[in-house]
Amino acid sequence: MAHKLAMESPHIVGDMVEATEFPELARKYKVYGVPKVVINETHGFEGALPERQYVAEIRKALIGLVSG
Amino acid sequence: MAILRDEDRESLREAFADNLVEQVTLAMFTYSEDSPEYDDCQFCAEMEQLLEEFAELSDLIELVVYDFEKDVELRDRYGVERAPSLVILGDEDYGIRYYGIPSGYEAQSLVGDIVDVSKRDSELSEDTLNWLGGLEQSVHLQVFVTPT
Repeated sequence: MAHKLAMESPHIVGDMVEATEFPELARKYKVYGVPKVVINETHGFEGALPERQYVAEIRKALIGLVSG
Repeated sequence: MAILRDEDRESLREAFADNLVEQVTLAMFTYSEDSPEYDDCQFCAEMEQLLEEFAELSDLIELVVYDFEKDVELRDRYGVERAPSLVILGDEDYGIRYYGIPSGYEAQSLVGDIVDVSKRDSELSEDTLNWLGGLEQSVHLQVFVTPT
């Protein structure tokens, strides 16, 4: 989903990060379960969400609502 | 020894033959074997081998391997901060990045991304595309996964 969104907007970059190879990043974002999606280094959610809810989480993050 | 199993390789080859349309470039950033970082890099060699095996599956998939430490201009252009990493390119850079070896669930994502980029079509819904058309803020998505 992150990569599909990245494809369709010049403002979106999507990183898939393999947590065991980059443990410092996993620690930084308190990744305890996967998948975990971190949005703009400040918001996050765990688990796989369908498209509509995924987009909703991004929109929440962009207007500064705290989640995860 | 090959990473992809024979049956997976053949079914992927068929899937790509049926679905790929335009050229896709897999741009990998890794440490060279001369680098002191190479021995500590757990999956650099394996990731390169995996991507070579993918590139062999279709004439429309091309692999280019860059040196994370030496190809600084390119690394900075793509904003790649760690290695081993992968940037998937079509006619342009879409902001598609992999940090670390795509295995298990991520390998499925890799196949999906190659097909999407090759078709130049994300298959996202019209609602999502409408929202994206009006989006002006930067969004950095980091999806953490583990090898399964």
